[in-house]
Amino acid sequence: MIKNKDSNKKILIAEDERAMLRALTDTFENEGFNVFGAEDGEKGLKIAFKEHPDVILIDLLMPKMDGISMLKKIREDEWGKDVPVIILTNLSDVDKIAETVENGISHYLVKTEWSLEEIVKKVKKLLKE
Amino acid sequence: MIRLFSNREGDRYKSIFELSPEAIVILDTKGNIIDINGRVYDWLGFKPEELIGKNIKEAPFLNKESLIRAQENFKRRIVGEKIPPYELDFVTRNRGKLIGRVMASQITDRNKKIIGLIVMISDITRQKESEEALKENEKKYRQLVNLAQEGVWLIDDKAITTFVNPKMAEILGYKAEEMLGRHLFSFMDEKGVEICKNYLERRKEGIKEQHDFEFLKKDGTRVFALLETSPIMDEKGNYLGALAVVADITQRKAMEVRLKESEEKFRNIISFSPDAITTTDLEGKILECNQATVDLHGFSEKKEIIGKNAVELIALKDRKKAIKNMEKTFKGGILKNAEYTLLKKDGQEFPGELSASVIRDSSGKPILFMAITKDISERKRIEQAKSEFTSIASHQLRTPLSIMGWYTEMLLKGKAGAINKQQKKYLKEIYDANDNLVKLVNLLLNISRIELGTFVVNPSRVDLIKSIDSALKHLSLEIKEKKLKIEKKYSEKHFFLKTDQSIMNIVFQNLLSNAVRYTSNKGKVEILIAKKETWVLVQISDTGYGIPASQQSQIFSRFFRAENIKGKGATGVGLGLYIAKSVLSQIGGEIWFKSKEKEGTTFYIKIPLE
Repeated sequence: MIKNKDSNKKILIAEDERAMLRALTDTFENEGFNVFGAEDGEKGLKIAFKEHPDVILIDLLMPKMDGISMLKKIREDEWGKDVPVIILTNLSDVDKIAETVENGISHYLVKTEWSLEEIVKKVKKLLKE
Repeated sequence: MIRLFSNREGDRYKSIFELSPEAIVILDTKGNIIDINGRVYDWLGFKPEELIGKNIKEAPFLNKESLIRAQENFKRRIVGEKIPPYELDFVTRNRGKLIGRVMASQITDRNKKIIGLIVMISDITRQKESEEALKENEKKYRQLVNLAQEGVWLIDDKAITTFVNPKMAEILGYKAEEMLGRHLFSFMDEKGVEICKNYLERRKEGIKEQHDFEFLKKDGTRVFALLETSPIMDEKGNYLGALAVVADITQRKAMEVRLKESEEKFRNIISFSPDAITTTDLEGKILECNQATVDLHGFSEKKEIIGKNAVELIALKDRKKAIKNMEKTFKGGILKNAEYTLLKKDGQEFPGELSASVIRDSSGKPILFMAITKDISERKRIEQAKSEFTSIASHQLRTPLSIMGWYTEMLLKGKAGAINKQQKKYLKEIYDANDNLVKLVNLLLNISRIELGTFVVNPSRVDLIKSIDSALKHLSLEIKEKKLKIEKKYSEKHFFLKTDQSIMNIVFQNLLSNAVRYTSNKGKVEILIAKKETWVLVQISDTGYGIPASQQSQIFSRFFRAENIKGKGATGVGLGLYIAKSVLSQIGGEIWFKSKEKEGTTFYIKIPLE
C-alpha cells in the first residue's frame, strides 16, 4: 500500500448504495486516505461532527436524511462552514442541483460521468486549495 | 259711348256694375268693348281708356288661344246660343297669367233685340292652383301608396275593405280587386278574429297603435305582419273606418326565431361548458360568467362574481402579469394558454390556464374580453409525476451503470491484483460498452425530458469556448486516431453567454462527435465563433461524407441516419441532431446546415446571448 502525503487526510463518504460506497472506500483507502463510510445521512452527520473530516462526499438520495439536509446541517456548524463537500448524484435534476449550489457545496458530480480516477483527482485538487 | 240704358236704369246699373266683386266687360254686338268696371283694372291692370273701344279680337288681356276661344264663344253667344261658364287664360298688363271663369249673358233692348253681351269674369286663379296642387298631391300619394313597400289597407266602419294597394294584396297573396268589399275577418283565423275584435274596438275609440298580427294568406299559409293602424273619424268624431300600413315581417320573425335559437344554443354551450367562461369589459370588470366559473373559484352564485374585476380572481403575485397580458390581448386580439395562479373564494390558490380574445362590435371596435379558464391542477400534478418519474428512472438506470463502470475501472487498474493482457483487453471491452450505455441512457433521458416537457432550462454564465474544448477533449482519442485537423477561428478570446450549460454540452458534444465521426482520416474540422448583436453564431464545418441532398430534409428527425454513412463503421443511433435541435429550441436557439455529399457539411448554430 502506497502511503503519500494525503495519508493523514480524513474523508467521509455518505452513500447508501453499498457497492458504490465500497468502490469509493477501497479507492480512497488505496490512495492513503483515512476513510469513514456512512450508509445514510444521519450516520454521516454524526461521523462528520465527531471526526471533522477534511473532505466530504455526499450522495443526494439517502435514507433517514437526504444529502441536501445533511449538507445544510454541516454548513450550519462552525466547523462545517468551510469544509469542502462534493455532492455525488445520479440525478441530473437541475432543480435539485440548483438547490445544492445555493447551499454552498464545493462541487457536484454525476457518478456515471466520472471515473474513480477523476473523482480522486478532484478531491486532491480540492484539498490543495 | 253707346247708351244702353235709360238714365234711371243707368244709375242703378252703374252702381251694381261698380260694386260687383267680379270683373265685368260690356261688349256690343260687334264685339267692341264699350264698358268695363273697376275690377278689370284691379285684376288685369288695364285702365278703361286702354280697353274701351277695342274689339274683342284685339283684347290685350287675352293670349292667342284665349282670343280664338273668346271670339268663337262671343259669336255663338251673341246669336243666342247658351254657353255654360267656361275657363279662360288671361294676361295682365304686366304679362302675368291669370285664370278666369267667364259667364256671358245677352243684353237686349225693350224690343228684345240683342244689343250686346255682359261678360262677367271671376278670378279662379287661386282656386285653380290649389286644385292643381291637390290633383298633383293626390297623384303623388296614389303613386306612393301603389309603389309603397308597405301594404296600405282601408276599411270602413263595418270593417269592409274599401282600398288596398298592390303591396297589401301581394302580402296576402291576393289581387287588389279580390280583397275589395271583403270583411277584415276573412283574412285571419278564428283566433285572429277574437284578437282583431279588440283592436277594432280600440280603433272605434279613436286609438292609434302599432301591433303585430298573423294574417291568413289566400293559399292558407300564415303571414306575420307589423301594423301601424289609425282610425278615420269625421269632424264630429264619428268613426268612419280605419287605415293600416302593413309590413310583412314573416322573414324577420323567422330570422328572429333563428337568432333566438342560435343565441339559446350559444348560451347553452356556455352554461354547460366544463370550462369557465367569462366576459369582461375592457377594464376587466366581469359582466357575465357561467356556472363553471362559479364552481372553479369556489363561489356559490354567479352574482358573487359578476361585477368583480377579473384580476381579483388571480393571485397577487400574478396580477402584474395578468394586466400585462390583458394589454397584449387588447392589441393582439388573442391570448393563448397563459398560466396563472388563481384564487378560490376563500383565498386558496390553484394553478389555472387562461385563454382570452377580444370581442368587437360590427364596426370592429373592441368592446369586450371573453376568457376561458381551466383548472390545471391535475395536469400540473401529472407533469410533476412525469418529472419525478424521469428523475427516478435516471437514478435507477445510472446507479448500476456507475457500479459496473467503477468496478471495471478498479479491475483494469489492477487494484484487485495484477491482470494479464488478455484479461485487460476483455475488461476494456466491458468498460467501453458500459460507457456507451451511459451515453445512450443520458440521451434517452434527455429525449424523454424534452418530450414530457420536463426539460428544465437553468441559465448560468457559460463560456462557449470551454464547452467546446471539453467536447473536443472527449473526442481527442478519435481525432488522434483519424489524424484529423481541428481549426479554431474565434473572433474573441471568450464568449460568455447567459445560457444553459448542459444544453451547450449536449449541442457541442453531438455536433462535434458527428463531425469527427463522419469525416474520413486526415480530414479537417473547422470551428468558427462570431458574436452578433444579440446572439453568437457558431459554425462547425467538416470535410466529411456530407449528407445526400435527397435526405437533407430529414436529418433532424428521430433515428435518422444518412444512407451514405451506413456500413462505414460509424456508430450512432440517429438521435444526436434531433436532440441538439430540441434542446436549442428550449433556449430560443436555432440550428441549420449546408451540406454537399463527398465534400462536407457545415452546421450553423445561433445561440441567444441571454
